[in-house]
Amino acid sequence: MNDDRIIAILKSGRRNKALVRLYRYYPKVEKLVCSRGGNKADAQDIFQESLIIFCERIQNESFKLTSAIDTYLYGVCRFLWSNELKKRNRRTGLAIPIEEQPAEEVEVDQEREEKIQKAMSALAQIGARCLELLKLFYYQSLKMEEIAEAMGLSSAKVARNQKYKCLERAKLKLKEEQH
Amino acid sequence: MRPELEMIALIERYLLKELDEADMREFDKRFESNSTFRQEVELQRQLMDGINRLSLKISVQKAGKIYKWTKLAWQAGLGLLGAAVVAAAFVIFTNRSTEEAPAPDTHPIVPMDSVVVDTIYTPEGDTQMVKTVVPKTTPQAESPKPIKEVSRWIEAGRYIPSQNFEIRADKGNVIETKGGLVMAIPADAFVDENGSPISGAIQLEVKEALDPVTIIKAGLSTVSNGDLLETGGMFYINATQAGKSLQMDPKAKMLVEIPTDSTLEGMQLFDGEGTEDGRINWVRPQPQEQYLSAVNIHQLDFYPPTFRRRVARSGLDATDKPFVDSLFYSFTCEEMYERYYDERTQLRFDNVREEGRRGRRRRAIDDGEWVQAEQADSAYIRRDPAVCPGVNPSNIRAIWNDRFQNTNLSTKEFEERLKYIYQSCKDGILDLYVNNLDLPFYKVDSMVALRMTDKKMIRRFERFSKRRDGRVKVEDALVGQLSAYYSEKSRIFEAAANKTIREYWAEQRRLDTEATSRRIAYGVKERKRNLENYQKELNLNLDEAYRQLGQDRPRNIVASNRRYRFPMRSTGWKNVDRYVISSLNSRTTLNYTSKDGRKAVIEYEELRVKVDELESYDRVNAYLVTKELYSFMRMREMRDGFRENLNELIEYNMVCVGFNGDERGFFSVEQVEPGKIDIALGSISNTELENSLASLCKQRDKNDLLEDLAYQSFEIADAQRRLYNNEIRQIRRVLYRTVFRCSSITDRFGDQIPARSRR
Repeated sequence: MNDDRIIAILKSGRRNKALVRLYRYYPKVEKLVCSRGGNKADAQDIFQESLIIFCERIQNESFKLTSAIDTYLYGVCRFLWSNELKKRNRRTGLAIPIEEQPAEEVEVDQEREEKIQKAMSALAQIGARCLELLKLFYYQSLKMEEIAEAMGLSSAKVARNQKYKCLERAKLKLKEEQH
Repeated sequence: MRPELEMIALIERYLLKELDEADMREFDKRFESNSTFRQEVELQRQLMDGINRLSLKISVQKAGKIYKWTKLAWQAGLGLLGAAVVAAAFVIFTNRSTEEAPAPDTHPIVPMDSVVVDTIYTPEGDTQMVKTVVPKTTPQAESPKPIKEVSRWIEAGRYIPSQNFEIRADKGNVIETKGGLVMAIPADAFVDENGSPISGAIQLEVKEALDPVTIIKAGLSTVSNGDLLETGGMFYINATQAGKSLQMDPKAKMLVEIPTDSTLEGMQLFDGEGTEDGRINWVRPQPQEQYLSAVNIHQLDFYPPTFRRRVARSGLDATDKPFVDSLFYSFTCEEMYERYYDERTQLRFDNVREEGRRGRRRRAIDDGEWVQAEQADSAYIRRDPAVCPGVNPSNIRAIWNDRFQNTNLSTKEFEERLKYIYQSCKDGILDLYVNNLDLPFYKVDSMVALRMTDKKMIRRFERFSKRRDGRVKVEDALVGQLSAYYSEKSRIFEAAANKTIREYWAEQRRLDTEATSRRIAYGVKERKRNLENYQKELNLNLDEAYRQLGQDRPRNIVASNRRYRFPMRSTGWKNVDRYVISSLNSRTTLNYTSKDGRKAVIEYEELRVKVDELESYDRVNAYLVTKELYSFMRMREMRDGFRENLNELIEYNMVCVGFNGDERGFFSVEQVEPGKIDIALGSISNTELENSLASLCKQRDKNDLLEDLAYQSFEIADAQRRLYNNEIRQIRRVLYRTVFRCSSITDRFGDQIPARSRR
């Protein structure tokens, strides 16, 4: 599967296979992170963050990938890791040897990130059942009938209602978070 | 539906782009005009983004898991999974009574070994760390053991809901349960009752009891041979095809990951054996070794306890790591712990004294006592390499670098132990850790505990060992290399540090000697100059006095070289001379009336010079240069300046020079008259200074002055040097005790001059 095909699949929304494919670029990242004061867990976190960034970016029409996915992911990981190191070292107070400048400067839209984080924390507060329902609808894209069956609800209509109630609840929590 | 919910539905359709054109336009209108509506839309959009992000996160994590398991699957090269074998708790079920013959749906007990569990990702999207690694292996799977009747289990099983999965027999599968259990099942893992592989679809039934509530509710026990265990979770798995129970191929290996919230110390893996009364007894515990995570070695603190603090308290910059390092490494052991040992007898001695002609014979000293010459054969006596009780800074220098990154030494666990090693006052402990980088910590800890003699230390390291800290994975080839590097570098660093220290103090002693001789020479010169000046001025005054008295000056009066005594060799006018002499001695006005009423008056009047900002200079000197005298005169120092009594017969130029490091301040007054003057020194370069002096005084004076100024410079610098050395000595004295806390030689510090043989 070459790069273009991967991107096409990711855009289409049925991304699992493509993501697994992208994981073959992980070993390089693991080597990078482990050789710079990180461990395997850090490497996995960093790599996953980079995949998330990548997937979200390509959903945006205006995003143009100028290099191979491999290079892009690696560059993003380098950037993320050096940020993380800086954060950690600030805590310990000792200076670390200066890393060479990362090739890819990843612009993080801070505002948007914050909004998303707030949304995620609001979602965490609505209860497991609600969250399950929303996941089934938005993530797994099941039909209402299927959702009703999986959740043990009597009909699609009921399920739909439940969904809206859950969304309302989430909105309320979010409103609380904002203020 | 409530209107609020209707709105949510509408907004959702909008965000999912499900509105038709007409509705879209309506929507936009409302969006523009109604700000509350706008807000609601934005909020919902934010939520959608959040949900999408969550979904994305789950997908990515899932992909990660699949990647990991498939990677492991192919690593073995046989399509089978990994080198580790299934483990964890295993619940045994049977649903028959003892009377019946064993039915095909018995469930074999898969023998357990240790499991590899690394990072686990729960369905909720959080990452949890479970670090338990035991790549030790394992005997092959045994044939299924006979099942004991445990009717109680039927009940237990009933309370736990089953989760069902369908897998294909000929493919490797990864399944994940609701509780987050992940199982990787290889292809062709199941066989029928004849032992031949199954094909087609297989139903898997999984029951899990991963939290305490479920475990208790289900009546499962956590008892091992009568002791209560703290469990990390249990599960049950049953494979069927068309209703028939399947067995697992003994050669197949299944990998299981169990999520836990924390890794508890001492977590072990147990086999479950059904007992007569329907319980499970957990037996054959295997401890889990923890792989450690390495950190950046440069972020660890390998200094002796309290070292950094002491450095800071001495007024030095403790945050300048290169400086603190070099200071620390400058302490060496060799000087303090001179040891010798006899190669043949392995006897150790404090010192060796050479005797006999050309030092051929040697006698050894131990604890201040002579040892018989026979016991220590001189030919075999060697100097012990730096044997340091506790830790030698050169050893630390050899390990505190990039070479040892990603080894056991670059861990917080080692940093912790090092603090105690310093306090242990035993040599060789550090070496144990460095030379055993392929062993887990707990093993080395117990080795160390054996070596200790102090009870507290023994207990401390035994406690370390109990923690069962593991190791950082290091290639085997590397381990040997690092060991060699360590011993070589330790020696080199020690030798280098010794050399540096020795050379420094030798140089200082040389400078001390030089300074002293220079001082002496200067003193001699000063005396000579003063004397000659005195003689000149005396002659001048005498001539003038006699002239005023209208007499000839007797020539048999010799200006002696002693100020306070004048040999009286003649009679007569000696009174005058005496008055003149005493007036010169005190530099006060001569006022002498002879017997016949004639007067001799030579006036001395004071000149006071006040110097602005005198304190801002290291040193200020004021000189008087004249034509009449042999050389310059120094003005006497006062609190804020200088003073001197000027002889009215002499014409003076005053020169004032200030020293401030390499800078010079200068002021001069030509033909200065007695009185009070205030001056401020202006900065001047050395060349300018020379020129000014040249214009103010005769050649010889100028040279003398420059020489004097040079000497002043030297004195200032030397005083600073001595002060600095004293500070160093002081600081080293303090720090020495911190670095070599085991030292019983309390009188040797600071200089660390090579020890002389004790007699």
